[in-house]
Amino acid sequence: MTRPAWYPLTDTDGRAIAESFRSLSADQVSRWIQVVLAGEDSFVAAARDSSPWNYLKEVYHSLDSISREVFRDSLIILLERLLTDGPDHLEDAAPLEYFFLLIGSVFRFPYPSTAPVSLLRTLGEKFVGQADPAGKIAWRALQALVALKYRGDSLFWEKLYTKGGSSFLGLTFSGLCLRDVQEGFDWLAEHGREPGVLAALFFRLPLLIQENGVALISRLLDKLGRHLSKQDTEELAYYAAQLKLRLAGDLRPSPFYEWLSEEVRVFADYLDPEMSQRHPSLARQIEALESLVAELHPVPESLKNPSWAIRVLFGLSSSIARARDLPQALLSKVLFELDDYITNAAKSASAMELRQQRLILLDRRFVLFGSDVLIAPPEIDRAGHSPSMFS
Amino acid sequence: MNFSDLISSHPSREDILSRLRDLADETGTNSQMRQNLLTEVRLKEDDWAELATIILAAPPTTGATRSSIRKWCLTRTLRGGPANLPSTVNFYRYISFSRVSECLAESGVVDSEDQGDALLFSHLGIEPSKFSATFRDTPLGRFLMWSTFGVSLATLIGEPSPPLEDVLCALGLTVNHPPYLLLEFTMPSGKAQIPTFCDAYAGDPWNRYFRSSAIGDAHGRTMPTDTCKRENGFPEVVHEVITAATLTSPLRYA
Repeated sequence: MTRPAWYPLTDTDGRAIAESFRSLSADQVSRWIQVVLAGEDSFVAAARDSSPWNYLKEVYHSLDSISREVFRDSLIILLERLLTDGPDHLEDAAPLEYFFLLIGSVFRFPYPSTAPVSLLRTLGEKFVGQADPAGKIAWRALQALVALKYRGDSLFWEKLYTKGGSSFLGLTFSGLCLRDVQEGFDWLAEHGREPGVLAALFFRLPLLIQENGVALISRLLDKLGRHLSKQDTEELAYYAAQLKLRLAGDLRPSPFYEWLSEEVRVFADYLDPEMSQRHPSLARQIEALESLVAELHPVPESLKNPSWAIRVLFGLSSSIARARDLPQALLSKVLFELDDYITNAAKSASAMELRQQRLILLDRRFVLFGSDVLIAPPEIDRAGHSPSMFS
Repeated sequence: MNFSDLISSHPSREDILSRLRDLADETGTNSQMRQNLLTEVRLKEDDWAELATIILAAPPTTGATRSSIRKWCLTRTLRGGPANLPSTVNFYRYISFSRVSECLAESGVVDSEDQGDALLFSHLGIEPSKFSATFRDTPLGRFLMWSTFGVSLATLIGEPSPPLEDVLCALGLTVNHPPYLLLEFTMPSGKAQIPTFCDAYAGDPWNRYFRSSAIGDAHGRTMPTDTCKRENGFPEVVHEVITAATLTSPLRYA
């Protein structure tokens, strides 16, 4: 059997070859994407529990910039078709969650794009409140908007919640927090007695802390607690204490923490569509990163609890690892400084804990650079044996 | 009766074999799938008869054949029967950190992979007994789960810990998206099933390294990758997705 002309060439594992996308149109790629999402493509994944959208993400990242544009256009075509034809054909052909999660992931690289936002908004507004699969489209479209860090107006989110009901509680909270975290908490307080409010908050709290800092979120939680049921308040208090313990250890928040949180926010903003529009120059964003590097070296004197600071750095390294298309030399520099920073911090922290954190950074560095390792290989092995770190 | 027996007297035998051959020619994974299909012993004659009908009803393309097998498998998972295990046993599962985040987003627990990353990270190292009630109910995967057991923890994470690649290859996996988490958990008796062809091929993508177990086997056994030094693999079972409440040790990196 021969494959159709619109199919990319594949290697012996059935994986699409990046170069072959250069000759495909967006319409052709959209057909191929549907085949993959529908489980009709025989690609081989290394992990048993990988998924089609994970594979498509990997393919996307392997493409050159022109092919990526084509890939993105193909997703827009599918979104438009979904809007025109309704859910039936896509729901039958491909799991909706894979499709929308792919949208939320792809349109963040190599730079955040607002291209799918109006379509996602329209899909959400059109299908919200309807029975599945249409209702599911609305939910997944909003999920993609949150993944793209879309800061819609509060009326948009609230209207969708009113029509969509309780299953939209967490998404609405997330959407409002992206616009203004205080507004999000105020809105949640208004719905404090509804079932599901605790889960809506619980699963989003760690990222909110990472992006907004312990001090602000603690204040907002204190305020919110008064609007929750007794049982929810008790569990929230327990969880908040646990998170604080994880983030701040037994030390009071220090100026260093606030500074570091701010730097993480700067980096997070780099990935954000609106921020990117406000500062269209890539050079400007790179400057922010370079100043971060400068600040990290040498290690600030105010650092008192390295193990907790490293947790914040983990968040930073996550962001860095996702920003694959920044100039490699710059990424190399950032990661090298982080590595150096952790080595210094290791002198006064739990060896085991730091070992784990450091290994993550090293792993991420490998993920980032793949075979093109531009920086020196780590001097420790996977087991964490390093005479220089903990001696 | 296995599938091979059924189609030996099937009127469309050649057509079925031809379609399977075309599929097997595509990739090594598909070839292994065909071999497993022809040797699987834990499914029933009615099941095989239905599969033959479904394959023949699909358009004659490899994609359609693959999809029809996968969809047929989806309705027949967890049918291998309970694995014969000691009364108390700890199960272990390796999974990439980022994949757990993806699963959380897929199942709608979180809105994005970023949220999933932050949620998981905030729970690393916490004793399961101290998990909040909400987190205890959190599923740590999607659809089915595969795990190993009966190996000492020292084999998996001993001191010095073996290279991750050495452990994963014995499980039929390669290091794809580090870092990895090692989940250690328990399950009620009877939940762990002997893996069958359908458990292996209901998902997408298919994994190359799976082999069906034989009649009388107490449980499955992992199929190491081609280049793995541990040639025997580890004991293996399949089961429903576990929640954080079943963990017996903190979430930790492998």
